[in-house]
Amino acid sequence: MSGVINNMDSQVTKNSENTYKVEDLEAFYFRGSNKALFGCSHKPMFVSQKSHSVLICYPVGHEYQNCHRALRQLSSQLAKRGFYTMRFDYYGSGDSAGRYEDASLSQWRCDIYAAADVCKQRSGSQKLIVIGLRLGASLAMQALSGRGDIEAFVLWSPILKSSKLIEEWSKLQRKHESSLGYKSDNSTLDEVLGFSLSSKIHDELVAMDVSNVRTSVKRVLVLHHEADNEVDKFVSHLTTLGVDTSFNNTDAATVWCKNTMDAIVPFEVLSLITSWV
Amino acid sequence: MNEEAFMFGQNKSIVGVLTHANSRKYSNTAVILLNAGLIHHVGPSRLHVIIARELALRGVNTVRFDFSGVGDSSVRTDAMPVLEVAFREPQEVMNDLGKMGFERFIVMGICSGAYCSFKTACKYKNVIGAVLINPQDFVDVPDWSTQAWARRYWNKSIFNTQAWINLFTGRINYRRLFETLFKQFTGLFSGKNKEVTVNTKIVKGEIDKLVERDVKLLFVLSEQDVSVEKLSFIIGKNINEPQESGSMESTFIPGADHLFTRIADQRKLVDIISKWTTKVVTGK
Repeated sequence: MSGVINNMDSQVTKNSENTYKVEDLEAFYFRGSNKALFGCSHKPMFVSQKSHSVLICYPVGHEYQNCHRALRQLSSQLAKRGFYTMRFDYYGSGDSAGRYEDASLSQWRCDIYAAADVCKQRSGSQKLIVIGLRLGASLAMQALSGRGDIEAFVLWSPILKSSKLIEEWSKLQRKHESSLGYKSDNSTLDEVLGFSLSSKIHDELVAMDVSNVRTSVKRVLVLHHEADNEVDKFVSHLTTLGVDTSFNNTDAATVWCKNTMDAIVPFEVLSLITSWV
Repeated sequence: MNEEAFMFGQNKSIVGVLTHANSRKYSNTAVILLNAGLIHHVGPSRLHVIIARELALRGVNTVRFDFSGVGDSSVRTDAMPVLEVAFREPQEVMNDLGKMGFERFIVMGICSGAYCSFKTACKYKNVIGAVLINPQDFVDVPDWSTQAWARRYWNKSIFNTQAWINLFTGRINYRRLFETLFKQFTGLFSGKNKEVTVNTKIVKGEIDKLVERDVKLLFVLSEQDVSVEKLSFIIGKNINEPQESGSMESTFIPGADHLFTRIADQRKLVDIISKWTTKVVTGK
């Protein structure tokens, strides 16, 4: 790169081909537990002294689709603060290999573990900050809590017990069916707003409980969208473990509830996260 | 499945994925999938990925990418108007694909993706086909939309029990309903209906030119979507029934919504598109 121009609030860099770039992006595939996974990274916009990079873990299904824009913006914001940031698609989701109906929570945990290694390798950093949204937050906690190279977690409306999630998805699907004037033949929930819900994922969700997860991480930021006893207990649990835990309750955080066309990027929440990390 | 990520365009800031065909038989042809509104390049309910992989099994290469400022791609640094970006960026991608040996293209998209596909097909001779799925905004006159909604309300909703249930249970867009009725009434005196007719004729002329050029066109329409009424305006006849005239075909998916949320409808869509595309690419 041959120069940097400050253009209002964004940085525009002029590269060797004499064209302009507002950010340094890279899209790539990597091997995660023997599967091809799609990753997209934002490189820091200036030479940075940051010792850690950031890995972002998406939610799943229709929530992934609704949140993609917000998390992509978060990635860009972090790059402007000097962080190498990587997002990736789980097996069976986004551009990654496989079919959504063949995926499982255990597979996705393996994907997160592999992505953490790839993020470190590509950025050259020794430590990671992991940001997860909804199920992405829960899976990241489960997959990475035992590792010594995680500096901090940002848990954005984590799913602590999945019974609530299944109930919520079920309501959304029935409401959608009813608005279109049809009713599913199946009594069990086998699809949610365009994405299948396999019996394997359903069973794994029923069994999932992150509320008592043990972790050796130093710092955690918990963002939540409503008053919730479960979350309060979880924050206390983390504090008991000696984790420096920050908690923020903001209804602006519910980015997954709106479909992509209506979703507003919650810059208030993104600023909160970028300032905290 | 063999897939490769690319950074396309002059600034290498357009993120895309090429799904390589399983055979090299039709190696000079590529399908290009364009964004459905703000949904990133994997498509609504991951439909673009499913379509690309199905086409790869049938020997067809497919590229999906994000327009600048949408999905993973960066924003543009020039001041190109968005309606120009609609066909310029597919062209930038086609130029890059041309360097890889691709010469013929089929463009396809849902909603605004259909609009961009249409404009790209009109503009560039190397486009041999276009799949326009639930196209919405062909005519750049707001009252066109009003007239399409009015046609839907009078011809369909009024006789539909579910529509009445939705009306009384708060599941409809009241603002759109009242706006439509109001504009319908005032439109009778304002002459705006004439403006719609003129613009509709322009679009019909563009479609006719594509047909003359022997560009294959497939319209896929969902029953629950107003694109059925919008397209009927342009074509000048009821588009609901499957029809085939020269290089233009249309198909109707009963019960489907705008973005094919029901998985059974997604399967129907993928099946229709993959069979049609294979036919166009192979010429059989």
